Amino acid sequence: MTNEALKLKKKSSRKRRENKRRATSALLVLPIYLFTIAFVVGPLIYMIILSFMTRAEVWGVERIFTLDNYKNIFSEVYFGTFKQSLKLAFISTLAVIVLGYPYGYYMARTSPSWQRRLMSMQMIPFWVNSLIRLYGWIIIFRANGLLDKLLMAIGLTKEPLKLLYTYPTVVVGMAYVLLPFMIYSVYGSAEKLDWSLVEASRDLGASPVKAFITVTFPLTLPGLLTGIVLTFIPSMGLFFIADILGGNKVVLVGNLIQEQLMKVHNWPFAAALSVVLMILTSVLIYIYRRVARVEKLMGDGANENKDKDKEKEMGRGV
Amino acid sequence: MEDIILSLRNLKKSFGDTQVLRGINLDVKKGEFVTLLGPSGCGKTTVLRIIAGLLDADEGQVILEGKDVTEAPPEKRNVNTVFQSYALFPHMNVGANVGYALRIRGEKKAKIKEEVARVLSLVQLEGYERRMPHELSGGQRQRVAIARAVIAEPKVLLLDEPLGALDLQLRRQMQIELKKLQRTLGITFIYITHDQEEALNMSNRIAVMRGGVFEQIGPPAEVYDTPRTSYVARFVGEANIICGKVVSASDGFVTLSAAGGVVTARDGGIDFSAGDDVTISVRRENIQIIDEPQDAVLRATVKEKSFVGGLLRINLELDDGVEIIATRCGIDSPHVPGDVVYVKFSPEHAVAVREQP
Repeated sequence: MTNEALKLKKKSSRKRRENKRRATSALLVLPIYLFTIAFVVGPLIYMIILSFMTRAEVWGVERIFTLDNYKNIFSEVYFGTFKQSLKLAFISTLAVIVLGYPYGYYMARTSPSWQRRLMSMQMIPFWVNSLIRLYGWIIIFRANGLLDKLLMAIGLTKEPLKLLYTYPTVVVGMAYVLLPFMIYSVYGSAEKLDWSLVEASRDLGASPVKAFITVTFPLTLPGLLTGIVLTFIPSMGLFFIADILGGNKVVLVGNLIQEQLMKVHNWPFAAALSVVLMILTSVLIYIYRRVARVEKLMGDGANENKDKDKEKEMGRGV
Repeated sequence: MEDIILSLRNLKKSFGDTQVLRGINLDVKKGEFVTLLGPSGCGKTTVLRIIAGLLDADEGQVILEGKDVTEAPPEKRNVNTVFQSYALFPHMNVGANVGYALRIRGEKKAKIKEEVARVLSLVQLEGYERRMPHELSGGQRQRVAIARAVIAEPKVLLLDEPLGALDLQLRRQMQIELKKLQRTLGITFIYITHDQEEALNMSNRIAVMRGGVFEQIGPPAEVYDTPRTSYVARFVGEANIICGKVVSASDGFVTLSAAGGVVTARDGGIDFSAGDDVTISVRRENIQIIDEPQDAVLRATVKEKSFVGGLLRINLELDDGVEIIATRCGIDSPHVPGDVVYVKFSPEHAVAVREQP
């Protein structure tokens, strides 16, 4: 065999190996694709198609194209629900920020042993189903419940406040369930914060407050933003909280979907509501990503990949 | 006394059970370049952090320009730090980083801009205002960190191993530039390093630190030539240490018997009388190797030869088993391992030191 021929043979065998490798890796990824198509993309397409169909007289769906479901959403009753949901989500998120940011921040700053303690304070309740924990709030808030008894005992109030099934109670429930997400997002950011940066700012003449405003806050902002997304979006859909603590007085998009699906059996309308909710949350995530990208451009390049990974997770998770 | 800008009085600090500082005393003159030299873990960074106010001392005082600032928070001290990790604010560009101290102080924008440009040109980074820290090389970040620390014209600039992360060549260049900068600005520098060459190169005075105390404070030449303790001799001059018994002492010299021979050394200001234990230090380059016995020599066996850093290095073992190292120019010598030779040094080149635990 000549040298040329040998070279050619080598080349072709290398190519064959390359092809084989590519085929193997494609085969390995295939299950993931199949899974995603079967359980994520498929149902999603089904839901979108469903939202353009007509409800059957008695049971099920008729394959008649209609836009009525979407028109319905913008009727005053249902649109009001969307507005109420957004408002509640906004207030709940605000409450979660006020409580969660300091908690997460200080958790990152304390000694490891205290970090563990503070973390378990968050984690252990999570081992109990959140529904059961919400029933705990009923015991606290109901008329003549724990809170009423306490307030009356110290003489702050004379009669039961009837707090259960009110708007503030739903906010408390939302904040309670969503708080850990904020705490952990902020903790993640604050823990990565290089403390020598804060020392540098103090060294250069900044008071503790100024150091916080100019260094600590901007550098923990990504965590705060992640926390906002992780609380704002679910708080529009957590129907069982409004159900349990709000009675029928607070109706959110999530409640509406659940009601239309399970009680009224108007599947197409429930699907349309879901599609609108999904679009709404996608827009919010899009805004978050835009803001986060600006943050990243300003931030350290070293953290870029980490942020990207987190972003990906976020996009997938919601 | 009015030109003393900073005084440390008996600083003590413990972390848990470990006492990191055991009484640090230092007076620094205006415009002086003082280096704290010591191995890692000797407490030198702790001293710096206490001066900066980032750490509270358990005992002792920090006096800056005659005022006791021991209790003052860092922002109330006219002292700035160049951090080992540079600690540049990653979310601000170079201009914002450098101008930070002035912005916090509430200076006018135009003035800040002007000052930033001036200081950046001092560190040879003109026009870098808009770059982000992560776009810079290590050496450039270093310069930004220095510019940021000097813009507010501190009374004392603290530098915590500022060149530690740079490669050798850049480090040498930065040593020269830092020294030049210090002369231009007239700011007092307190500089931390574990590199004795750097310390000898740059400082007006060196404070050799070990286990939370200063073992010796003095000009580089003094610390190098007349180490007061065996530790300083080893750490600063990489000197050989020979122990023996005093035979006689007079006129600033001490004669001792050691390793089967009798040699003479400067007494280093220590009072000796016959029979005392004595330790002397001889630097590697001052050790001569001769083939025939003479007066005042020590017999030794050649153990090893190597060529390191442009010098021939010969490891020898004295008769009492102590290993000493001699260096000389050239790439080879006639001696081979196993040869019995004689070690000689002039009394001027040897000095008695205290052996401290």
